[in-house]
Amino acid sequence: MSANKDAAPSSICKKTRRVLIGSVQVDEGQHLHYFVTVDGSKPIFSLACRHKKHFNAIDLGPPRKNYEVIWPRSSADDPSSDGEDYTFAMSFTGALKYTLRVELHDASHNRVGDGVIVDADYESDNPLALCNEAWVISI
Amino acid sequence: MKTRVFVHIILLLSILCLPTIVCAQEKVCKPPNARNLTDYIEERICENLKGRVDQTDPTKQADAPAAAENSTSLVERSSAPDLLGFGLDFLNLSDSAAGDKKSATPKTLTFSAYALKSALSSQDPLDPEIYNKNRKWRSVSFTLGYEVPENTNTREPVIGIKWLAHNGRDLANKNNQDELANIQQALDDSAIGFSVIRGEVRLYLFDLLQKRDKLPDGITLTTLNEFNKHVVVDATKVESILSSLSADEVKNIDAIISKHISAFATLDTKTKNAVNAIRTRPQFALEFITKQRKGTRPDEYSGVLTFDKGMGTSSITLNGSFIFNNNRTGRDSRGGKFSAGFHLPLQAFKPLGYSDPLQLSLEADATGMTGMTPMYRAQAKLTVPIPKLPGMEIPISISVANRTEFVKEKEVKGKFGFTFDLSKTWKAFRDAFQRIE
Repeated sequence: MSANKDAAPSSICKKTRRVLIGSVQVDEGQHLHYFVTVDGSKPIFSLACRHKKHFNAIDLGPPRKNYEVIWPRSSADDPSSDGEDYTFAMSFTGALKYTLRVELHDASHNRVGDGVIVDADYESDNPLALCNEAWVISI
Repeated sequence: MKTRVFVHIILLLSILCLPTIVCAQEKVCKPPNARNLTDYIEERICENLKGRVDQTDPTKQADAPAAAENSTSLVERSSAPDLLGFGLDFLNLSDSAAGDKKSATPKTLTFSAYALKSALSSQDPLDPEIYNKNRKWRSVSFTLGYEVPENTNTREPVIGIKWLAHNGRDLANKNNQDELANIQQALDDSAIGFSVIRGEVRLYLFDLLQKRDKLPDGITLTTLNEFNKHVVVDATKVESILSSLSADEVKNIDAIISKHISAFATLDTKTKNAVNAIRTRPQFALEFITKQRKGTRPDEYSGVLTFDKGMGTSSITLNGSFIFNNNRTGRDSRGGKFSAGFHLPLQAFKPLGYSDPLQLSLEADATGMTGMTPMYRAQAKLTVPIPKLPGMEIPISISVANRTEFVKEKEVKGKFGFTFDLSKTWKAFRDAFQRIE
């Protein structure tokens, strides 16, 4: 007589968005700098466009609190000039909170103008919860 | 009389908890606030995946050890709080109502070696790297406190050390890595699927609005880039567009989503399977605990083996103890105790969450000591999480025994207490503080 045998979790996380720009143009010599901060024991996240995965938590090594990724890492990462949707997906099976910050940087790793594309927190204490953030990138 | 009142309290609490239990069965797909395009697509995907099963199994024991005379537990759980737990047992209905005879409140404090290490090294104990690196430190915990014999104010020290020898449910455990890697793989595919869906829905809405004679309130349409940059991420504008959609247009969006739903169904299944597999893995603990009694009462020393196993949404705990009583006035006695408990969560469980669910436990133990009549006890316990106070719970129990340790009479006893798990409270307050900052 388990009350939650058929229970479904709140599968959507709580989002606190400080900045979210829906589209970013990455010009020659520029790159996006991803900062991911995690609370919990086992981060599980992934960044993908419609064609492929670009990076995930396992690619970035053992679990830790702070991750930094510079993107594109190679010409194979280039999106189309028309703009393509990119999704940062998160699982809360081993994490309570993700903070995502995406900045547009020049070749010298200085922020370009306001340069913040995403700055947001994603939280859930449900291990089955899944969460996505998405934006369009053009080259 | 007091027992009857207590049963009524338990029934009342159960009734009050019922709406929460019922609500736990509803799937919450719609975010509480206005939705931008990403939120709306998540909601539609979620609606398509209704029927998911949650998983339960809270095992961390913050209340007084079962060995303590006034504990609200008959059965010792395998794991202790990651940082610090505090247990109070407030009410003992078998106490005399006379003021002089009323017992003091028994108190115990349980803390992990990891908590001590973190405090001394000033490290964030909830940093994934530190948390995983110090698994062995998290497996050892200490209990300090005192129990109070019935109808006295005497405080008798309780000291214990517990080693969680095998923790199959630790996410850092090697046996769980394949399950977590499965989730990661499925998440990669779902992220690709989400990008595809979002791209198609975004272009569908742009084309749709371009054909409209009248745009929804607050919407101006220029270029696709402007639409991407300023409209689809603006929750107010997206809500305005969504409210202008016809039923057929909503169906068209759902059709786009259903074309790519398989990646999300796979992720859903793999996540459920992984959580289910991890939460039902066994745990095995060894504990030594002593009660140093005053006056002529014998000191007690016991070694306890504890086994916890998840079974679907519930769990079972078994204890086997060797007990030695050092009697100051007569012959020493020795013997054993066997306990079993069945724990049934009445709400969805959130293993890394701030609160454990409302839980019903059915427990029993049998104790045999040399020179003493065997003692049998059975107990029902309701553990009620305190709303809005993370990590804090009120255990309420009613038990029946054929005799007590020192009195050969049948006894019915009701108790309630208070427990506090610092790691959960810390997480909640820290997150709230960061939000304020």
